[in-house]
Amino acid sequence: MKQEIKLDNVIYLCLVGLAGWVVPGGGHLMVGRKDKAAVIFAGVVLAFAIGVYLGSVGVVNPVAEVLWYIPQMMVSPAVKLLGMITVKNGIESFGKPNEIGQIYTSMAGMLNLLCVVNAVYLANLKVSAKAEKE
Amino acid sequence: MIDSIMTIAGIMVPMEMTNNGWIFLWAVPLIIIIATVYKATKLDQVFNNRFVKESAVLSLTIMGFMALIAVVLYFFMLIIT
Repeated sequence: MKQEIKLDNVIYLCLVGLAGWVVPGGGHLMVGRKDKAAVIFAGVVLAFAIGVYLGSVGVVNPVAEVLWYIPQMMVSPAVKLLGMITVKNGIESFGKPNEIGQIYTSMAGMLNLLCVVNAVYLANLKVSAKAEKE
Repeated sequence: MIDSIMTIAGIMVPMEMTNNGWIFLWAVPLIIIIATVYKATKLDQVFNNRFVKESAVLSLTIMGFMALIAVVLYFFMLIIT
């Protein structure tokens, strides 16, 4: 049976995805999976914090390191603030601490992207189950 | 969230790090985090023994394969030099 695409459902799925991006684990929280949300929030924030601790805030550099900045932005839009602070104060990070810091922060972003996709998938399952009941 | 970001922004100096073989151990915490978060998305229930066990198995599998690749590359280097 062909499932109708309702505007409310699309908005709901978009909101779940947006919540997952704004706060890591926020999407799962909206779907009602508090346990998963807690693990995701702790994991993503910890990875990002370790990365910044190793390489300083200079690892988030939207001007000199654009390709690393794109996955870093997947952690949260608040990362843009760090980028602004780095550029404004001219903070630079070099060598191994910078490399490892960039890997940690970018992996945190990629992990959060995976979690956003998973949250939207779970929300879609919830919407489908609700539609079938009706 | 903004407060956390501003706290993180206070870290202006990179950590001092010696460039030797031990630096690869920094991969371990990242692997554990990746395995834990991945398993949290895959399993239906978290905070139980199965979750901990599967996360540990995935972490050890990734570390094992990385170590294997390192050994293969080391012997390859010995052959070509």
